[in-house]
Amino acid sequence: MRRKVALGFAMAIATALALAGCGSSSSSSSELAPGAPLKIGYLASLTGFCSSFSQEYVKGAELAVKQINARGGVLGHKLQLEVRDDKATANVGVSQARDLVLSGHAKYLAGTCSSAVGKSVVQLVANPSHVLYVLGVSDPTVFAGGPQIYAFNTIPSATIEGKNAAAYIRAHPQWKRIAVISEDYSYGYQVTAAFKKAMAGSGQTIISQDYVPSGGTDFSPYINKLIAEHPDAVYSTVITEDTVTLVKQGLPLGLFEKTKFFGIMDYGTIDAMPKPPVGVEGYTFYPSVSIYRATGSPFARDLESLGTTAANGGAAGDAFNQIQIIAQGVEKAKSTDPSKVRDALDEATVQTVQGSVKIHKCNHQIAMPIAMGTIVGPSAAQPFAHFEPLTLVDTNKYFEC
Amino acid sequence: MSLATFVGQLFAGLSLAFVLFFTAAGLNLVWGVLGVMNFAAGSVYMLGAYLTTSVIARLGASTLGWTAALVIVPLAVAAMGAVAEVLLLRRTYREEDENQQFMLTLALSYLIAGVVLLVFGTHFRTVSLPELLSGSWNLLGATLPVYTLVTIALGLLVTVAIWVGLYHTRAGLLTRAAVDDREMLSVLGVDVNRVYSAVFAVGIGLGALGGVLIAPQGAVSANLETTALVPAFIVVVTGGLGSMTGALLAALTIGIAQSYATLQDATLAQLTPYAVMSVVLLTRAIVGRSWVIA
Repeated sequence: MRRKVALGFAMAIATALALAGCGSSSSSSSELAPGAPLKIGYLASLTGFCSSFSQEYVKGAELAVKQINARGGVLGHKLQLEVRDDKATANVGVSQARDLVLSGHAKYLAGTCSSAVGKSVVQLVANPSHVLYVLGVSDPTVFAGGPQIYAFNTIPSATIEGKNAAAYIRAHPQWKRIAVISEDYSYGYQVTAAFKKAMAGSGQTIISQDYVPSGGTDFSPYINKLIAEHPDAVYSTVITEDTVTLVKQGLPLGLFEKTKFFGIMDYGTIDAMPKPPVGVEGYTFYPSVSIYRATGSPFARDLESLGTTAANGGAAGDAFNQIQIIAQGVEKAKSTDPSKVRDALDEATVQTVQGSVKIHKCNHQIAMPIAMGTIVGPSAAQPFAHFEPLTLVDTNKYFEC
Repeated sequence: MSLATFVGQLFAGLSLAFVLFFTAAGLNLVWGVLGVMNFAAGSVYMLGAYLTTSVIARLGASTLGWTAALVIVPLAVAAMGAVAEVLLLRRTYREEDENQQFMLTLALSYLIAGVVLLVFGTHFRTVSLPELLSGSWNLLGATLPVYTLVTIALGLLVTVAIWVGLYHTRAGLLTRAAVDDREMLSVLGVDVNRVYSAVFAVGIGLGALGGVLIAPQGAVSANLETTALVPAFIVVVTGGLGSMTGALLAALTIGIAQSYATLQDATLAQLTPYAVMSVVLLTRAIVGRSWVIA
């Protein structure tokens, strides 16, 4: 019996030593061999709840890779993109990420529209890591690990989105009764919670908060309820195709005439509406081509080559940014080692579709601006529904680092 | 609750109920006659919605375009259903293997979803309503969208058509006879296979009709498949498998109850179908199967 125990201990120690050896060997090989391709595994939710705009992500990522490779790659390494479908499902995303890292030898990961996938993959690449992950998701808890984690966020978190909405509502103190309508999943709950927290002490009352089912086909009962509550303003975080359904069913019910409506309205979404809700106050943090073309951003011009309409391209812009940030991180670090790249990106300023933006070290959030304005119909200069006047809100003020 | 809110929620609930009923009626018909639980019903609903966007895009968002979609799409999908029944399902009846039928309809649903993805892409689609149907009327202070009223009217019309078809036509007589005794019907010289194909086609067409009606109301995406199937199953189970009257009552109860429950708690209101089903199933378990409406 003792012999068996001793043998067990010996084996355990041998295994631990072997693993430690593997670790050090892997650590020393974190730098790519000269001329070797820099592989980026891209998680695109090609099927699942956000499949409707995931092709856009792939287009944006591919465009960034093409442009970077056309100028010689980074530090002599050509970028190589490998796209996988994470099905917007955590276990599939983790499985794909693991395969990309272990079998595909990718040192960099990007993408996913799903916070659940993002959260699981961030845990997978947790410290000590030889993989860096750049993604754009709303859930702030994905980045709860702070500066230690090997992940960066390219879109404003739900906390920042909620704070920005609260700042807008607080700027209108005449609106005393506020109703909130959101998506019935984590994103909706998180933005609503952040909004409510930021509204505390404003003297304005949140009279209701309702959550519509994602992908639902009949929102009339919810809209009737909103109208019956007689709010001074409605704050909506209903997104993508659900926005289309809400607007289409809200128009004949008089939702936009009977209430002051304010909410997230991506250009790609309002462009898809047969009748956009003109006069509604909207915001978006996705970099649609038309918003950033006006700022002279070269990335925005490039995005037009994707074949999407000028109103669209928001998701493509986000993916474009993710690849650009990896490439700029490698250049800043003068190394392909993900650990060094992570350190080089902390507190760095990077070039994105939205211009120069700062990365906050405390939560690895990139302070992307939020575009806000009143929805107007197509004009000669912009032949699609857009915001006018357009304001780009600097989100740095919402960070609590 | 004000009268305007009461009326508004009632009509919203009725509209919801009839869209639910179309898919549930299709499921019920196929189950009642063929004994097949059609797991492709959600995909058929989604296909109906996608095809509607195509027809309206081609003919324009006019009354003509919408009416054409209303007629052409259910007929076209029903024809596809008949072909699928002849080529695939018919082979499974003799073996009376329910697992095989289940797997086959499940495979059909994947096939339809895959084809929709290939043909229409992953991005959601939208179509306009014709001007005639996009306004609203005022009743007792409530604003009622014209399209909601049209959906309810069509729902009533189709319900009457199903009832007349089942109980006052020779085709309906044969269908009911096929439910009771297939062999006897065959001995009497009726081509039972033809009856089965027709029933499956009608069931599929009804499912597609639900998709046609919801297409102009929102965004058409692949998510429609799942949003339709589960509520339709709940309606069928609540109303009693094979019972058309039961399905209608269940759809009306669930639709209207969910609409009013939204006023109390919009999130909990989503549980209404499950709550109604649980109450009905428990009552049925206590009172006995004879409680089921024929």
